[in-house]
Amino acid sequence: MPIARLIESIRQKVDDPSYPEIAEWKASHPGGKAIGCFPVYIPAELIHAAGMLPVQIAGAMGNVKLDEADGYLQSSVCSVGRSTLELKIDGHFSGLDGMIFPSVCEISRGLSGVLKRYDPDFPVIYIHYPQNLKSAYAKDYLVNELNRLKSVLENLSGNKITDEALLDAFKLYNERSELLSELAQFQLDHPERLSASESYLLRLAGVVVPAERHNAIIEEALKLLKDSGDRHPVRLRMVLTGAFCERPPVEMLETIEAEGVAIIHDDILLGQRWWVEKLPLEGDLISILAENYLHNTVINPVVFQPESTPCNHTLDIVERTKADGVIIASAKSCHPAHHDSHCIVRICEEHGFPFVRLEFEEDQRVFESTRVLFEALLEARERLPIAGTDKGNNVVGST
Amino acid sequence: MITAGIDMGSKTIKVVILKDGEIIGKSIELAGFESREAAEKAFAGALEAAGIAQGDIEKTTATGAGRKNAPYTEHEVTEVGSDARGVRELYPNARTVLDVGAEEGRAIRTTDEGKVLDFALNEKCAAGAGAFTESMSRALEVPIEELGPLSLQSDASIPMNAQCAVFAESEVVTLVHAKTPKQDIARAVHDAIASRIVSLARKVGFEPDVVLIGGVAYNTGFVDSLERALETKIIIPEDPEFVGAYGAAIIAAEGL
Repeated sequence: MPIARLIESIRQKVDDPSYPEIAEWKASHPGGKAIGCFPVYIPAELIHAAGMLPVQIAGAMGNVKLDEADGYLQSSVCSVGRSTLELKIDGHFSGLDGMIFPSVCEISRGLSGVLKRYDPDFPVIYIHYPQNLKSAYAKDYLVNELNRLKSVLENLSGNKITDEALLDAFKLYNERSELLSELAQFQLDHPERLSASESYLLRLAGVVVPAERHNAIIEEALKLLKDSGDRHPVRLRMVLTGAFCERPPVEMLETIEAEGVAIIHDDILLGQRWWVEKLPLEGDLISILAENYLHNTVINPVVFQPESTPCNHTLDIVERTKADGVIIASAKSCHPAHHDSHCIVRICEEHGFPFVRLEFEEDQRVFESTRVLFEALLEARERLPIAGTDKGNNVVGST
Repeated sequence: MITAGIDMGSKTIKVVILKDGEIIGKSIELAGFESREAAEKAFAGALEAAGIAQGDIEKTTATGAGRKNAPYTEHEVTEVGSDARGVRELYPNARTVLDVGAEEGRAIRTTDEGKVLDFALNEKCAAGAGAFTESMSRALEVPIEELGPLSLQSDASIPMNAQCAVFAESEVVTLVHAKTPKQDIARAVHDAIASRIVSLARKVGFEPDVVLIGGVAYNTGFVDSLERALETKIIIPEDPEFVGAYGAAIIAAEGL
């Protein structure tokens, strides 16, 4: 099967907001339960080790009308927050046996409370991550929190989380990390053969299929990609940052790519690639999870790491990848993304990196202004050095 | 060399014909539902004004929101590019271009050499564009061309809180019911649009000279509001809504 056909088959699946794979998984795992995981990061390893299916909640992508959720939530709530509630109200989450929310932002916190009140019989679990990673008590605190989550999951599933099962889960997710790293490297090295939107769709498959199958899909994709030819013209290579939580519409990336702008690095679906290095497989596994959250987490806007902020991280990435510029793409009303966008702008200005700022929503369907933004960016760099002669002017743009 | 620039705006279509850099013909038509037909009509009008035939035009460049649908066009350029080029030709000292059209506002900052350095577009917000003044003139029952002079009669500063044109109309209705003088409401409307354009201008870090183009530049009340908000004098070209088409015609001549 050519790579384009594999990616197209995934596109058909990821737009179904009813998570049909849950029913399929349950049919092959009698008595098994599925747990929804609100972004950005939930320790799926623990859910898997409890014999349950971790389901990454990633909104409705505009496939569900937000009629009722808007009655519960104020308009300043991000789209993924509103669509998650709508999916619950509309019955799309009927296959889920509970949901876990992480302490990443006010929306996640508030939504967990709204869901609890909306359906008191639906198990809603909230995990508190430490805010001060430097504190001497951070690790002990997180070990306690993970043990609390472990026992909640054991009660829900009726299964004991054994060291053996947790070790198997570590191996499974380590394998996924490795495969996704390879995919990201391919996207960076060969943007003419693998576009960001295609890479994104391959990652999105992990939202609708279990990790075992996702790994097989990525493995197959990597094999197909090695034999694939150039399919995408590349006029500019840019890094995209700010879309770590809410899913940007695939069409938004395709609009950008249609102009010849290759996104060689992005932070979309960051929770799938949470660990910088693979998890160690020896020692107390809960302690390993806690230790790695403190010291092995990818730089991101929802974990406060004073020495390695997303702003410095963006600078590192641009310099490492020799990118031509930065796309600062923040989900509408995403406070962590907007907070960091200001210092990323400053860093781009200080270092003379061209950058583009844009805002998106998961249910956005019109991308005309996005197209104009990138057309104008390319035009200014390539075609309209109006009075000068060099083509490297640091043009920036925003909507 | 004779070239043409066609600006396929969301409300109007403008055509400018240049001969060796001089404007020899121009025309404007409402876009309506059949924008291509309207464009052909605008083209015919400009040709007539120039006293030449279609075949005399060597190159045509399209710009504007509907540029993909423009007739007689060899290539296209974004509104950002055509605006910057047109203004550069008219005002070499311009560093900031503000373009407020019917449906969109944009701010462009250029370098000393006239290159585009930064730009910002307003999105999904009629409150920062000409359509807003039109709906407000209907609400106030004042012809659109009288809205500007009317607001200049006011010294009152009434803040409008609504962030959206639809809600702002409700706010205007409330002011009307409260017997607020029409001139004060007109000024409040212009101040509201200006504040959105100023936020775009600040986004790109505006510096003088500031040139305002687009159809809303004809509105003296809006210009007054914008000058007060930016605390700077604004330059208005003679034909502000033709500057994009003019820039496109220059770009056609330069073959960029």
